Formats: sequence, structure tokens, C-alpha cells
Amino acid sequence: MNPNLKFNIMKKIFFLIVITAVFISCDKREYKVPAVDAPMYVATSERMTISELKTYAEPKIFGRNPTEANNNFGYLQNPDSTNVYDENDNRKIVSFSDVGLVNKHIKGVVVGDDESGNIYKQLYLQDETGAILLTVNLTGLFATYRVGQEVIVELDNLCIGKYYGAYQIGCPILSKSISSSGATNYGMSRMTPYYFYNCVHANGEPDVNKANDLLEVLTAIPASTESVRNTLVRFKNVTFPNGGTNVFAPLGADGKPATNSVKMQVGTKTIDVRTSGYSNFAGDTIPTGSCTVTAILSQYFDNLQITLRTRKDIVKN
Amino acid sequence: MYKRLTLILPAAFFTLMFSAIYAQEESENIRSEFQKENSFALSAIDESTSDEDADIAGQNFSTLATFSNDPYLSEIGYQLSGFRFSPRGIKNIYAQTFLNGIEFNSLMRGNFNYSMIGGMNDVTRNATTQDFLQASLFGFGDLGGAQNYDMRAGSYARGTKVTLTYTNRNYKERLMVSHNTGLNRKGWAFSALLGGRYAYEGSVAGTFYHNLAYFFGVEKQWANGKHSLSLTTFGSPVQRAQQAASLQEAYDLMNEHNSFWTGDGRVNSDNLSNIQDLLGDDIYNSYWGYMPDGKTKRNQRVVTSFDPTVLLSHVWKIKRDAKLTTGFGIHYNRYGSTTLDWYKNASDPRPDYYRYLPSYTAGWGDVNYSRDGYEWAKNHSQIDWTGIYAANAQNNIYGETASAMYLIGERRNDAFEMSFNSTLDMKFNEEITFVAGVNARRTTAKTFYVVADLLGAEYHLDVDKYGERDFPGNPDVKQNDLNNPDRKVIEGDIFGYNYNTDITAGSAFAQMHHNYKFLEFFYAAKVSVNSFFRDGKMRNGRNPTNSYGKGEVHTFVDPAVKAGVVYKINGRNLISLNGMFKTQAPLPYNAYTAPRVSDEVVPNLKSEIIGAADLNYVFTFPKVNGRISGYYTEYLNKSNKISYYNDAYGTFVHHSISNANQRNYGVEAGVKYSVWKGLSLSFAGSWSQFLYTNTPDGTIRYENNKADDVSGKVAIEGFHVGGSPEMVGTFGVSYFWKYWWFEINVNGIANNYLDPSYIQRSVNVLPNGNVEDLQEKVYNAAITYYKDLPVAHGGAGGDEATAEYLAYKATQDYTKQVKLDNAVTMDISVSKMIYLKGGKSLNINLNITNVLNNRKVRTGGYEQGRIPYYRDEFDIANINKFPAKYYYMQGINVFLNIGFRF
Repeated sequence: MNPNLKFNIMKKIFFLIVITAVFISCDKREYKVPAVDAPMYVATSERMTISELKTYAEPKIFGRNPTEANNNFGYLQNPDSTNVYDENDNRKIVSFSDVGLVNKHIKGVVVGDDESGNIYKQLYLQDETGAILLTVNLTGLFATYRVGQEVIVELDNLCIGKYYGAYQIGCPILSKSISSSGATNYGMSRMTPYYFYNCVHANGEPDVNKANDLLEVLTAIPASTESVRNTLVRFKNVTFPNGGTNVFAPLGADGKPATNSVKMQVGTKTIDVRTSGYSNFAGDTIPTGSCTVTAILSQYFDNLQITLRTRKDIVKN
Repeated sequence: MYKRLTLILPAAFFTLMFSAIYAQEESENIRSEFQKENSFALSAIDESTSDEDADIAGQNFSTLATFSNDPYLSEIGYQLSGFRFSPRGIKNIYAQTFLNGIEFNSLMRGNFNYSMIGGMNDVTRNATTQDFLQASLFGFGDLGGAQNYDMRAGSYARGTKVTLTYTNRNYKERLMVSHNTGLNRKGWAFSALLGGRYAYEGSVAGTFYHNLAYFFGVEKQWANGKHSLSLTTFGSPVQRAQQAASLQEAYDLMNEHNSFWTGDGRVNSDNLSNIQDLLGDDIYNSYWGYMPDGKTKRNQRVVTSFDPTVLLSHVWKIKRDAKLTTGFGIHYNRYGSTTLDWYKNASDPRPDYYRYLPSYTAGWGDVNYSRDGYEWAKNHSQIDWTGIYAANAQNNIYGETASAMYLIGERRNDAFEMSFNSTLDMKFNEEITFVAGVNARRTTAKTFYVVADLLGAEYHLDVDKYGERDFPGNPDVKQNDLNNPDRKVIEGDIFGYNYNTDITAGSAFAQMHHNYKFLEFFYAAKVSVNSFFRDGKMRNGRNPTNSYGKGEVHTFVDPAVKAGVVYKINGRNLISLNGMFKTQAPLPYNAYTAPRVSDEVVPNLKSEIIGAADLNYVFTFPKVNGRISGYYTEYLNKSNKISYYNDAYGTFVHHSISNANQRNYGVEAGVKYSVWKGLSLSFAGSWSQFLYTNTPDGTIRYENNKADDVSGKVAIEGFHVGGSPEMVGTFGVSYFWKYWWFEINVNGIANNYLDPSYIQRSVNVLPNGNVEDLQEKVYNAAITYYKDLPVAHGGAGGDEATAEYLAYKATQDYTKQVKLDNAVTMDISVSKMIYLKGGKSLNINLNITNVLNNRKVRTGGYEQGRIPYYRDEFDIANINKFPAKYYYMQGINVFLNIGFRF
């Protein structure tokens, strides 16, 4: 072979290799941490307050079936056709728009999220008129819906219902649950991801002060009324009778996490502090001495109770 | 006239015969060249898929078969490797691979890792194979035989070759340049190769492929070739993104699958008929998502692997019929696979997580897929990187602690290996040959987890994800390293787990081979010693006493014997019978129940016992040649382990089986027939049964060590061993004409099963371990569930007989093994060889596999370990909550290769 020709070929090969090497080495997959914009949502619908929503909905919430004496476990139904039943003898569940509430939203601030795991598949939303529970079939909501996050809930396609008389927002699907005693119950379903992401919108950066601005400082345990239910409250001088020894929620007899309640002394009365075995402070020892507690005043059966959002909700005085 | 005819006819006849034979040989050469070109590309199909275990162990035994001269193996190995077919159901750990006579199967996992020689096809063409149980040539061999790559510089023909390739697989372009000097007059030979494989985005969405391969070899021969010393070094660093196996529901979701609405989330083969129409242009891959810029695709699973290898080999031709080959090899493997991990109460970021799929979000109770849920899930089918970055960014400011909610960790499986071999090969006389060898090996495998990307978080607190929940009030238990509690780790830091596995092995074998006029026989024996221990680098909070430091040493001594006899009926027909009996030490990879956190080994840790035999008829006629064989392999005392999240126990568990017996048997045939001149037909096929033949012992160990191990039988007797189809066939027509070569192949597979998951066959503890007990438990739960369920909801509405029928169906459906559909594909190949002046040549190959674009071929998958178990009873309403995950074969696949040699 002609040495020059050979040299030419070698030169071409050399360039091929260089090009390949450059090509491959340029295509580095390095990902810089991007700046993430705060969420933004501008509602075009008309705002109503949480209190207005409850007032509007109350006469349209009926019991699950005619045997229920009150609507404490009911859900939104069309008042004109409460005698329509499905194959499980449940009355038909409908959305807000089905009962004529169209182009409306509520706006509030998240006062309770699921960061610690004590709140699960729920968000507590509060405005200046009161609070309401958003039930969602998702976990890890606090990643985007932290305490202090302003949230706009487009109501039209959603549904409202009651659980032990407390209002909840969910989606217009009936779902079945089997209680620990084995009883089958139907009720309003938690929002599916579809409903949640389409109807519940975060707006702006979270700001804990926005939540704290709404809180009520209490000196005594109030009566269970709609204006206090599920709101953020603060008790400035409370004690825990079993402080220093017991933990918030020890493992159950079967070795699995279990929910537990401990007493909190407010003045002369006590109130239950209920803690999930899945919360990240379940095993923490209950504090001693005088404390300030900032937490959700939630509904459990017919009574009010305290739901801690995180362990930091209790501060020793 | 007559006289002339008598001259011409035989002359014509011989000319035709000669040209036919010549054509056949040429055609075989080109085909074999082409197969070698393509073989690693095929094995790379496996590279792109699946989790790290499958990734490392995934490459198929078929790759080995490509190099065989056997009419069955060469055909089937090449044509069916895309179906994950393993001849005789032999796993790749039962085939030995040597490089320059040095053994390189991983001591940790048993297999040979083909990616270590990936992208350097020009220097991996000289391989000698020893099929199945045949006599040894360079090593004792194994069930699947052995192969030895000769990578000495002097073995390559002088010249330069440039190869350009385009394909639509996990890589798209390949460039390879090699140059060999051949042996010069002074006895020196040099050889070098540089190659690269690249895809900005592979054929599966969200994947990429970056590879640069190098090879350098030098050989010096002296004393008239009596001595040869060679040094060879190579490596093939690669970075590539992976494809996920997904739930059928997720595949269907992405592809507007009508039968998606049938509401059956479990394996429903009736559903499959429509997938072809419904799979879009891409196969769904849940591993990627768009970065916040909305343009860049990021894949969470990226493999970064680099395996530099150095081989030193000495060949001493002691005398004319005696040769001693001695070699020493060093290999370092840096293997890492990234994964998106989540901590604190963050939501599962995997878009195909079952709770995000419509069957779940429609609510508890009814399997009621709502259109809304479907739409939502479809629009959220890729990873939400924006949400992940935002979550970490907010958590830095507002979180209880700034420890990461999400991070990318890299699971590292590194190893440093040394291997020494010396093999003597000599002829005593014309009839008797003797082969013997010794081998010594040592490996230090390093297994650990590294923070690869904090995704904007400030740090990560190295404690167990579930530790707080499972052990409330005990701050020690949740620690991953009690020697460094509450450690904050940042990018580059090791966390989670960190341990070494030290393995030392040695073996010696010898074989006598006698070859007489009508009879040929051999007998061989081998003894192996294997010893390994775990050396923990962290003191795990859940296993404080048996996780840190050097663990117990496990040593195994294993004998093996092998023999065969060949009866040569005449020059064209022979019958042979081969047999092997051996024990095999458990692999360190399978020996520990939870090696990341503890030194505990699986119960009944002992060598498995293997017996194998085959009977072969081999025929060689001028126009037709082939082999027909029957084989039988019995495995006793096998152990295996799978790990999964156990719903019934609410924690991650490792489920081991031991004393498992398995039987593989079947028949296989390969025939080649030269019809006329360059036209030939080939057929290769086999029918087999790969069966579990007993009810093995099962042990469930909690990774968090919270409760005692749970023992119980695993009712898999009679189930098929998964991982390879049992029935396969390929029929080919090829034509060779003026250095053009055409081939069409039709391939088919049947009886392809998924390996049974253990928990599905062993609920809690089955006292007698038979499948009937399990069925009864499911059946009873199903009767209760269906009896009063309204008819409109798929129940019996109070009717006892209907309830019994529904329960029977549910039971059958739940306990049966998943069988994949039969499949047929067609491949086409065209090649042209052009000889240019000056000894240069150009060859062009175009290979199109799955030319009919059959997209419904499921090549494999796995049953999930999770079971629908709720409040200590089968959750019949959600009996199909955890269906199997599948891999699909790619559709039409093009491989265009242009090689220029000068």
C-alpha cells in the first residue's frame, strides 16, 4: 500500500475516533439543581368562605340511607331525588355542580399537614371563618401543601360529606370500607389523585405565619361547635398527667403500630391527644411540666380532641 | 460424443459439487462473522432492562452458544437469545468462561459479565467452545459447557478494520477501529482497538447509552514459537440509562388499551390480543421524567460501569504434543446503578406505583376503574422531577429537619478479582490425550450505597426509613451505623449499608481422552474449594451484634466427575452418551439472608447436587448434517432468595428457599440441509420441561430483625422454573450467491413461565406445605367474600352455589403460575462481501429482527412478592392488587453494519 495513502487513512481514522470521543464526552448527563418557582394559581371562579360553604351544603347533605336518623355520616345528594338507590341500598352521591353550585371556590391556608405521619391522607384547611378537612387518597401531601400554604379549592366537581358530624371535602364517588369490627360501610370517597390535582391548587410560597395568624389562643376546652372544629388553636399552659413516663403511641400488643390517646390537662378539664402509631414521634416520651401546645382541634366520634401536627407542636414553657 | 459426455458430466458434477460445498463454507463463514458482530448487541438487549440484579445476572447463556459449531446451538443461541431462551434451561452460572485460558466467572454471582468485553467485537471473535457435557479442552467445563476467548495479539490476522454500525436498540451508533500487526519476524505482535457505542436517546424513551471500549495487546514469541508471553488489557466503561418492567395496568394505561376496562388487573391472557394495536411508538418506561425545564428527560436509573482487566498469559509448547498454558488476570469492576429514593413521609415518586393506578384510586372495595382516574394517571405516568426538587427546596426551609425527602443513591457492587490458571494439555500417543489444570482465585466484593445526588437537599440523615415507625422510642435501632449515629451524609458519602465479601477459591481437574477407530471415550474429575466471609463496615442498629466486622467463614469442598463415550457407527453417523455428577458450593450472593445488614446465612446452607446426562445422535452427510439429543438434569438442594415488602408483616423481608429440587429434561435437534448450490435450510428446536420437583423449605426473615424468622414450606412442586421458554424452534432459509448472503428465519417460543413467587405459595406458614392447604385458605376467604356480595358487584348475591363457583375461580386464579403467551417472530438478514484490490475488503450486513413488528411478545418478568393480605385474611376484593410485572420484546429491530478491512 502506498505509504501516503495509508497515512491518510490513519489520519481519517484518528479523526473519527476523536470525533466519537468528543461526541460521547460532551453528552454528559449532569443535572444542576434548578430554581423552582413558587406555585401560582389565579382563580377565575367566585370565592365563598368556608363558613358560607357549610351553610350552603348543610340542607343538601342527607344520610346514606333512609334508616339513618341524622346526616352525621351523610354526603351531598340531590334533594329532589334522595330516593334513588344503588345496588347496595345507598343513596346517590353527587357533586357540587350537580346541586347547582357552579364556578365557586374556597380559599384557605393549610393549618395541618401530614409531615410527621400523625395526619394521614388529610389536609386541614382554614380561613377567617372556620376550617374544613380535605380528604385525599394520597400520602406525602406536605411536599407541596405545607402548613402555611395558601390553597384554592375549585368546588364544582367535588363533594362534601360529614363524618361524626364534621364536614369533609371529598369526591363524588362512594367507596366501601370495612371497619375493624368487620362492618361494611359506604361513604364519600377521599379525593382520587385526579380530583385532587385538578381541583386543589397551591398558590405562592408557604408561610407559617399565615397559619399562625388564624389560630385562636384558648384557655379552656371549648364546646364542639362548627366554628372551632378542625381549626388551629393554642393552649398556653397545659400539662400531661403521664408525662415523663409514657410515650405518645406505643406499639400494639401484636407488635404493630397502633393509635393511642393520652390526656392533656387544660385547667381543670382534660382532652385527649390522639396519636397515630405511624407518626414519627409515636415513640417519644410525653413531656413533663407546663407546656404550650399549638395543634388542631379535631373531631373524634362526638368529642373534640387534639391532633398534633409534629412533635414541635408541644413547647415546654 | 459419448466419450465427451463421460468426461463433461463428471466434470460438471464435480464442479457443481465443489461450488456447492465451497459456497456453503463461504456462506457459513460470513454468517458466523456476522453473528459474532451481532451477538453482543443481542445480549445488550438484556442490559437495558430491569433492576440491578437482573442487570448483572441478566445476560443470557445463549451468547456463549453463538460461538459453537454445533448445528443446534449456533442456530438457536443466535436466533432465540432475544427471547431470553437458555438451552436446556441452564442458567449462565453453569457455563464457564475463560479469557486466554484464565477463568472469569464471577465468584460472587457465578456468571460471566459480558459487558466487560462489550463493544470490542473485533477482538472477541476467536473463541473455542466446549458444548454442554462434552470432553474438556481447556477447563473441566460445566452443565452449559465452557468457552475460551483467545485474546492474544499474535492470534489476530494482520490488518486494520473500521466498523460502523447503526441499530435501534439501547444504543444507536457504534464505531470500532482495530489494528493488528500479526507476528513479525522478531516474534512480536501488537494489537489495539478503540470503539464506542452511543445513543442520545435509545429506542426506549428516556434511555441513553455512552460507551468507550479499548483494547491493547502485545505478544512475544521466542524459541521458534516454543514460548509465548502475552499481555492484554482492555476495558469498556459504560454509562447507560435503564428501562423498567411495569405492571400490565401501566402498559395498558399508556396505550389506550380497551381491555383495560375489563377490571382484571391480574394476568389475563385474553387482554393481550389488543396490545399490539395499542402500544404506541415507544415501550412505556416509568424511569424517566422531564426536568423542570420541560425539555430534558432525566432517567432515575443510570448504570455506570467500568471493568478494567489485565491478562498475562504464557504458553509453553513443551514438545510437539504437549502444551502448558499459564495465566494470571486482574479485574476491577466498578458497577453502580442509581435509584430514586425517598425518606420521611414523602410520597412514593414512582409513577407506576400501584396506588397511583386507576384500579387503586377508584377507591377501596370495588375493582372499579374510573375514567377520571385513568386520565389522571396517564398524564402523570412519568417522574415529576419538578415536584421532587420543589419538595426538597421547601423542606430545606420549612421541614422539621432539612434532611432530604428525595435523593438519588447509587447502589454499588464493586469487585476486585484475581484469577490464576495453569493447564497442561498433552498427547500420550495417537489415541490418548491428557488435560489437567489448576486454578486459584480471589475476589473482594464491595457492596455499599452512596449519595449520588441530593436533588437540592442540604444533607441526608443516615437512619432507617421505617426504623422510627417500627421501633418507636428506640433511637439506636433506627441507626444504619451505630458506630456513627445520626450521621449527616452529603453527595459522595456512603450510607445505608456497606460491607465486603471476601471469597477465595481453588480447583484442580484432570481428564483422560481415548480415541479409537470406532470408539472414543473420556473420563474426568475435578475438586473445588470455595471459602467466603462477610466483612461488615457498619454496625447496623437492627443487627448490632452480627453486622460489623469479619463474619463467619464458610468453606465448601465440591467434587465433580464427568465421562462420555462416542460410538462411531461409520464416518457419517455417531452416537454419544455423556454424563456429569457434581456438587456446587452456594454462591456468596445467595448465601446471606440480608447481607446488607447482617452476617446471617440462609438456613441449610450447603452445596447443591447436580446430575446430568445426554444422549446424542450426530450425522454428517454431504448435504445434510445435524444432531438430535435427549438430555436430563437433576438439581438437588438448591437454594434461592427473593426480597420484597410483605404486606402481612408490614415490613421488608427476605424469603429464602432451601432443599429445592429441580428437574430439566427434553429433546433438542438441529439440522442443516444444503438444497442446491448456495441454498440451504436449517432447523433447530427443542422441547423441554423445567420443573420444581419438591416442596422446598422456606424462611422469611425480617430485614429490620423485628421478629423471629418464619419458617414454612413453599408449595411450588410441579411449578415450572421461569426465566426461559421451554419450547422453542427456528426455521431458516438462506441463500448464498456471488458473495451475497440472504437469510430468513421464523422463530417461535411456547411454554414460557414466570418463576413462581414464594409468598404467593406460602401464606404465613403452611403446615404441610402443599398447595391444597393454601388453596383452601384462599377458597374459604373467597366464599365469605362472595356469598353476600351483590351480583351487580360480581358477587353471588346470597346464592351458595354461585359463591362456591366464584371462590373456586378466584382460588385457581390466585394460585396458578403465570404463563406467558406463545410467540412467533421473523428475522431477515442480507449481507454482501466485496473484495477490493490490494487485499482490502468491505462487508455490509443488514439484519432486521422481528420484522413483522410483533409488539406483544412478553419475554419475561416477575411475580411480585406482595400479597393481598389484610387483617390476617386474604383480601379477596383486592386479590389482584399486586399483579406480575413484565418485560416486552422490542418491535422491529434493525442492525446495519459496515466493515472495511485493509
